[in-house]
Amino acid sequence: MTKEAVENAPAPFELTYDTDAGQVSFPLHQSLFCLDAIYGAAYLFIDKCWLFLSRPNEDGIVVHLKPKEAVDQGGLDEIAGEFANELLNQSIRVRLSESTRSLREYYMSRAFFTTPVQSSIDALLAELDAEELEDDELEISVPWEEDNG
Amino acid sequence: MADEVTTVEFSTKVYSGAAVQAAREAYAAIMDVALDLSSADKVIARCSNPDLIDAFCNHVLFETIQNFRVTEGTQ
Repeated sequence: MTKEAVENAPAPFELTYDTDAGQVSFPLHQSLFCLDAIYGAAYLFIDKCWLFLSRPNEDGIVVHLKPKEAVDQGGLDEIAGEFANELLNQSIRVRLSESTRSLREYYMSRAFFTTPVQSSIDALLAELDAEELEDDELEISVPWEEDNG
Repeated sequence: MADEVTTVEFSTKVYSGAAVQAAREAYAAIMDVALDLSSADKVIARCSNPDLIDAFCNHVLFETIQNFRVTEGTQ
């Protein structure tokens, strides 16, 4: 890697969070993470952390996570990383849900509220039944029980 | 000797007032919680047992997410 390439390389991303008094605080902007995504991520951490959400301004939400069991700085960093990953996961879920909403509603309405059309299988079965009732001049259709004793 | 009271402010932009009340009822047997609903922006809870504050806040969040979710449009 040339010196110029090293100088022009983008700075590595740093996860923005604070660790103070044994807890992790995530300042989040709602333009990046919707409330449903924050709820989804927070819900998954309820069992191992004490959580609190605050709203310092109109567009910002701060998520405070305090582990239920005592952890060191490395443990706090791990929780912060896991929460950040889960935030992204939940954001994608919300985005996918919104993009497929109309399609899901369409299929649900088709399944529950439309008159079912007789399937081709039903038509074939009806045709076979009709044939069985006709006279068998060549005596081909012999019941299995008679044919095999 | 007066009981120690801890005050927690739940922003109504992220927490539901109904969720705070539901959590208050769930904790009624073990902790006294007095609610101040006079502000439209927040619900103030005054709790008698500081050791249960974290658990109470978790329960409020749980109730909000499960049963009384705040939608973006109502913020």
